[in-house]
Formats: sequence, C-alpha cells, structure tokens
Amino acid sequence: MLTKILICLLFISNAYAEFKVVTTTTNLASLVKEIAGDEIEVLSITKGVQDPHYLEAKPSYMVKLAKADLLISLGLGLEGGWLPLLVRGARRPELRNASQRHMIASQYVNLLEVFKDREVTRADGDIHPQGNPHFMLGPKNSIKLGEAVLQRLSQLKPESAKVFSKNYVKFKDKMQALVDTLHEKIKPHQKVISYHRTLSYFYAEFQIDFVEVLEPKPGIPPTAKHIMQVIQKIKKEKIRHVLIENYFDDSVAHKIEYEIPNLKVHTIPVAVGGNSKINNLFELYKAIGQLFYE
Amino acid sequence: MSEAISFLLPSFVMCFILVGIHCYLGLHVLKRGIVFIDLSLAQVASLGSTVAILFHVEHHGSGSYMISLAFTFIAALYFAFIRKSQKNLSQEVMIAIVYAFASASVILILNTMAHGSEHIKEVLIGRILWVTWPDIIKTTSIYSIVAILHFAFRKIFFDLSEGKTYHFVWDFLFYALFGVVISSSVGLAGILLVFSFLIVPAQFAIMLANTVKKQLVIGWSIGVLISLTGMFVSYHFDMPAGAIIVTLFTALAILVLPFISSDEA
Repeated sequence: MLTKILICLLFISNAYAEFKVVTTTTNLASLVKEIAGDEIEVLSITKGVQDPHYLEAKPSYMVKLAKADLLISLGLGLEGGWLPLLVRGARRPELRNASQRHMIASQYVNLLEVFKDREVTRADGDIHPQGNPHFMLGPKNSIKLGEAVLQRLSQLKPESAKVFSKNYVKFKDKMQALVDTLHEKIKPHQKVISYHRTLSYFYAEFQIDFVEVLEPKPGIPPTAKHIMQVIQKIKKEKIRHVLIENYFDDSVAHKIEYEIPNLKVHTIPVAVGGNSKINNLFELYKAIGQLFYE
Repeated sequence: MSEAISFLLPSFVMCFILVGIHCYLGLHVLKRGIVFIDLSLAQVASLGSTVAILFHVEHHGSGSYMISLAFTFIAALYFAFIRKSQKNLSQEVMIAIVYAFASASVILILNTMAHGSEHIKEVLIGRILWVTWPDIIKTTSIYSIVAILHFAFRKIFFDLSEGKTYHFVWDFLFYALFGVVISSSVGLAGILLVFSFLIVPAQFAIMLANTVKKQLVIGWSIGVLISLTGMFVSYHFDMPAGAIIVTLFTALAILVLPFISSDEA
C-alpha cells in the first residue's frame, strides 16, 4: 500500500516538475511565474543583482538549459555575450534563434531608442541598435509580453491553458491597478539622471524626464570630464534625483552627491531579487515609482 | 578650468598622500627584495573583504575593513614566521604562492554570489577619480599612525629591512603596518596604481641617491610629478585616470632605469 502511495506521489511530483521554463532574467521569470502559477517550474539564469550584459558561463547553467522545455530571452543582443555559449554547451541548436522552444521577448513589446537610420559601431560603446533591451522595466510592456507568454505556454502545455489564462487576467488587472496608482502619485516631468539607460521604459511611461546618464557611452565607465558636465547640468536644470542601478559602482554618484548637497542619490534594484524586499514585478515597479512620489 | 581643479583636487591630494607613504614603504620593500609583497597582501586584503561580503557585512564599511585587516595580519604573521623559521625558503616564493592562493580563493568565493566581476574589477582599477574629502581625512588619519610608528622606530625598521638585525616581533609589526596601508589604499587606487606608487619612485630614488633623506625627496618628487601629469592627461583626453598614471610610471621606469649610471649610488 505504502509503495503504491509513494509511486503515486512520485508521478504527481513528476507531473508538476516536468515542464520547465528557463528565462535569462529574473524579471522575465517573475512574469512567467505570475502566469504559470504552480503548473510549471521557472528558473532564471541571471540573478537580480547581476548585470545581465555580462555573465560568466557555468556548467550548471548549461544543465538547466539542456532540460528546458521553453527558453525566454530578452533579445536585442543583450544576452549576446553569453547565451549562445550556453545554448551550444547545452547541445540545443534549436534554441539558437527564435523558435517554438525559444521565445525572444523583444519581438512582442514596444521598443524605445531604436537606431535604424544610423550606422552604429563599437566606438559608440556597448549599444543595442535594434532598441533598448531593458523593456521589462516598463509595466505596460510586461502586460503586453504577458499575453504573448500566455499564448506560448498554452500552445506548449494545452492541458493547463485554462489555468494560465485565469492567472493572466488576474496579473493584468493587478498590474493595471498598480499602473493607475503610480500615474496618480508620480508628478510628471520630474528630471532624473541614471548610470545606464536601464530605466528608459519606466521613465517614458510615467513621463519622467531622463536627462542624462553617468556613463559617457553604454558600457564605458564614467570619466572626469563627462561627470563635470553632468554636475553642471544638475546645477543648471535643478535636477533632484540620481538613480543608480545597484549592479553598478555608486562611488561616482557619491562624489556628485558630495559636490551638490541637496541632491538625492538612490541606489535601486532594477530586477526582481535585486534586493531581499523585491520578490516580484509589482514590488519592483512600486519601489522605483515611490522615489518619485510627491 | 577652475571647475576642473576643484573637482579633481581631492584626487590630486589623495595621490600625494599615497605617493608619500608608498614611496617610503617602497624603499623598505626594495631593500628586502620582496617586490610582490604589496600585490600579495593586497590580494589577501581583498580576500578578507570578499569574505565580508559573504557574511553580508556592508561593503566599504568599517566592518568590512576590519575583516580585511584581520586577514592581512594573519598573512603578516605568516610572512614574519617564514623569515624566522626557514633559511632555505625564499620569502618571495611564499609571497607569490600566497598571492596565487588569495586570488584563486577570491574567484571561488565570488563564484557563489552575484556582483562577482564588479568586485574583481574594483580591486584592479580602484576609484581614484571619485574620492571625496571625507575619504581623505579617513586615509590621512590611518596613514599618520603608521608614519608616526615608522618614524619613531626608524632605526629598528631600517636595520631590519637591510638585514642587519632580526626580531620576529618587529618583523611582524613591519608587515602588519604595511598591511594596514595596503588594505586601505588598494580600495582607493586599485592594485596596479598602488604597485606603481610603491616600486617606481623608490627604485629611482635608490639608484640616484644613497641616504634615506635624499632618496625620499627624489622619490616623492618623481611620484608627485608623474601623478600630476597623469591626472592632467586623463582629464584632457578624457581617459581613465588610474590606467594613465600607471602607464606613465611604468613607461618611465622601462625607458629610463636601464640608462641611469649607477656610480652615484
């Protein structure tokens, strides 16, 4: 009798664990979790405190990828430095490009900062000409991508489609409510400076003016001349907020803070898991939005 | 331009302070023939601050500094012990081995947590451009203690470094004080810059003069001059300051040192 129960349990646990989704970032993983609920297993390759541009490939990532039923990446070249290596290491050539088993999220959202008409070279820094890849930081995009994820999951696991779609509606309503609250509380046209163009989508959605970045070019560390220009600008335009993504070095920001005493420098998480308080996308958007409450 | 000067002034001052103490310690290090001691102790200090991160002690805080200091003291004790107990074992060999051990351990520990690459990069490059006046006050007070001790017991320390006498406790104290300086300077200037400050001016000084007083004047002048030039070049061409200063120091050493006539020394 006991063995039978154990075998049953084994099957049940297998049934839950059998469908695996691997995402490149924790923000994607959080979105998938909202929609999939307990039906599937979701794993993110990067952690919330890591810069997703760079990752050291570890064997364990390849093992995760080898067993994945679905891979979801951001695209636009963000993971270009490490994901192809992992795909090769995992012996899964079908994951190299967009396919039924590899969803490239950037194809399903509205993109900003697209340089179509201009030649972009390495001299422009680590730039992504097809668009800014940090689109998961725009709440509206997360709803839009959520719909695409719902469709894909329902195709790959039709037996759970009903649950997925119920979860998605719940997610969408909750997110819409949060977006409305943020719109209400954030006064538009506040000026802000960040280290990298990570928060472009968030700023655009809530009409926060993204005036300047601390790095002179994407991926290039700040230089004295550039920072002095930034300080001039802060003084001239009376900018009050500097938001530093918490995987960058904030000593530059503290130097600026020292020069301009009433400036507010916030070191903030920009991904789920970026600190111990941020466990899902809702908490992430709220934490960033709160800095702009009046 | 005046804006630039007031912005860069803390970095200049920090360079002068670093040149001051490192050039002096460089004389000791060269006399002892243990050039890589700074890389080794710096890496041990970095291992300490990595372990601090592992236990969730705030980075750059005083807790983290204390832990990295404790690590360098252990290494100091170890280096002093080797000199005491082993006549056939070169200290330089053990210093290099400790360096490799500490470096690899840092990578292993960082592998278990995020933020890894940033930490390694920070140790290499430092943040000399972004120091503020509070940083300078903190560093100056730490270095003053070291400088006062070194000045008060200069005869003992120099005899020790020149191999005239040997005391285990004094030897340990030398390494410990050295560790105090290194573990705070590496976080500010990075390993490469600290290495340049330590070795290049002192080597010039030893080749150009034979009394400690003269050596210090020469070393300090060279150090200050090169740092100033480096800062200026870095600002003018908008390039990373640390790397420029290191390049200037090392290029000068590579090009000039072989052609200095040594009869003066």
